[in-house]
Amino acid sequence: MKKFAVTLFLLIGIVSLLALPCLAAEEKAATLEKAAPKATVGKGKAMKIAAAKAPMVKLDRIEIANYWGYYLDGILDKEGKLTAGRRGAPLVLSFVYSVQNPNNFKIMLDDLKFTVAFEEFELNTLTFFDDNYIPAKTTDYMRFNGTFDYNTANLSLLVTGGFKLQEMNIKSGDLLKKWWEGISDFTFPITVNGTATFVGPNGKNIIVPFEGTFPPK
Amino acid sequence: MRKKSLLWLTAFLMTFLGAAGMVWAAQGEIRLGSINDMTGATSDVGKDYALGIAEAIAYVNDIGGINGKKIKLFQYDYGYRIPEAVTTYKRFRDFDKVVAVLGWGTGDTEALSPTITKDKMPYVSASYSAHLTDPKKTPYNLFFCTDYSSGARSAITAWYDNVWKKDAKYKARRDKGEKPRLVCFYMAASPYASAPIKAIKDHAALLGIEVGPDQDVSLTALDTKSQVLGAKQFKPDLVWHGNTTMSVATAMRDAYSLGLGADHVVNVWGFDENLPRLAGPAAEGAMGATVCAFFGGKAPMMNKIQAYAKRINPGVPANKRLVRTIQAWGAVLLLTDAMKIADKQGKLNGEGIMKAMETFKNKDFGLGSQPASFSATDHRPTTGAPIFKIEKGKFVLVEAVDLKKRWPDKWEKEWMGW
Repeated sequence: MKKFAVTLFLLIGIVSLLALPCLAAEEKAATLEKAAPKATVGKGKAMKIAAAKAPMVKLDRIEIANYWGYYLDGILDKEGKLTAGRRGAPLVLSFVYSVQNPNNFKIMLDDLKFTVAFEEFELNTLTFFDDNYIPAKTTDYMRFNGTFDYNTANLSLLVTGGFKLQEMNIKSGDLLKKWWEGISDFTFPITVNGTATFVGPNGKNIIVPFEGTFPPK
Repeated sequence: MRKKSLLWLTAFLMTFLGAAGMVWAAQGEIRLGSINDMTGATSDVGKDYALGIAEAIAYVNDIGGINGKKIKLFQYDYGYRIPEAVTTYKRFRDFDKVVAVLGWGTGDTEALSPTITKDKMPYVSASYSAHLTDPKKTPYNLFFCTDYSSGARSAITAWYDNVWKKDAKYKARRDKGEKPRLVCFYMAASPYASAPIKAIKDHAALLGIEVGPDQDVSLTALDTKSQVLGAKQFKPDLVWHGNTTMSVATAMRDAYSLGLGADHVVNVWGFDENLPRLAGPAAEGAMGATVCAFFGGKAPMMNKIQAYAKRINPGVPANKRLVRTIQAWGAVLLLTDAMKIADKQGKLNGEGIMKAMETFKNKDFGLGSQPASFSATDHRPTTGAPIFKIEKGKFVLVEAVDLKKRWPDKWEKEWMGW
């Protein structure tokens, strides 16, 4: 009986120890893969890969989803120049990413966030939290929409890029007008810089940094 | 033999099911909301803070989450627009079902305060407005560090003691018995910038400082010459800067170029690593109320903070990171430490989390901040602030001011909640 009690105690200990690493596991976790390779994605490295190969995230293209012309509802400023007016000029861009899963099992995209810069000025940071599963050995194309607006972009430009604009001797309004009028032909580079968080089969996060420019250089 | 085998099988099943139960219980997800400004009028400081929130949550998850439960963070940019913050809060409450919110600005935090009180939603904000420190009025608001009013009182006290009373340039005026003169530069329409103004004027009166006309400076200002010229007529010895870094740097540059000749003291959100970078020599000697170590500075948690910054946001170089990251960690650690206690007590809800926070006494988060204490009757985390000044582009400690020690009666009876 004493032997039984000791063995039972050991058994509880072993099973508990086996269970502990799973504490943070997602309920959606799939089968465990033993390999723990490190993968390079873009210029960054995938961090802390425990069980799955890091998926590849790449900006495929940017599309204009919805566009209010800069001139619509515009008003003239003191110098007689057309401005977007107090109501602003919304611009909705679709960022289409290819997400490649190199693993033999499905993997979940937990969240994706990226900062968008027009030329060298960061205007917006977009975040997406919807769970998406990428099937094994497939490349999925995912579309993330972001809303930009003349007035909010102007505010962001003035606060974070104000001194740079002064150095470049450019008025924020002139730069915005150039962007809003040139967007249909993508006459200036738009860059994205962000991270995608995947959940591997063992429940651990795989963080994949990515960056991209459109139109491609 | 059969009996013994049955016993073994039962034991195995019990342990297996017990362990499985542990895992299932631990698989629960705890949801937190975070409202941040990454594109609006305070994005010069808000972007870095937002990065810090995500990094601190990743750290908490890596060390076991909330007693084994993973935190799922919902983080949204509201562009410093109060209506959008209110809308986002409703989404957190009604759809995402978060247990607590990490907030941002004073305007939205104060606007949401009655709602979160009614909803019993813990709200740990980056607004350190003293209006949020009286639990009788705002029982579900909290933050981890010195409030704006106490920070301003501390900074003005440090300038008065260390500069006005000691600096040779003021000797002649001191000998004549003249009073020092103060002017405030801030955006009057901004709840953040205007929050400590009443306390500043009260403190100036306490120290015998004359106060000149306020200068209204926008948070997005790139030219403040008219305000500097307006202030110049009053011949101030000291300027209080109540805005965020970009606007403060603009005002300092204009003050420098127009020869205002006054010293500068700055509120916490205007005093960071970018200030000497943007204002250059105009920022030399400026003093500011700080609430924690600067990025890369001395603090027990700094190695982890830097490692998580590199890991979670590798695209942002270390030399562009700010003290805002550490402030974000403060908010996250305050909230998650309380959540762990509440969870252990089986009360992971608004009331349980707030009660847990109110048990913290001299709590050190390892961030180089002053130890924080809270009670059911007083949500002022600290009794003063360390005051730093900029010397050759670096931050140097002037002194840690303890308001409670110096003015115990006023601290206890007069100064809470404004």
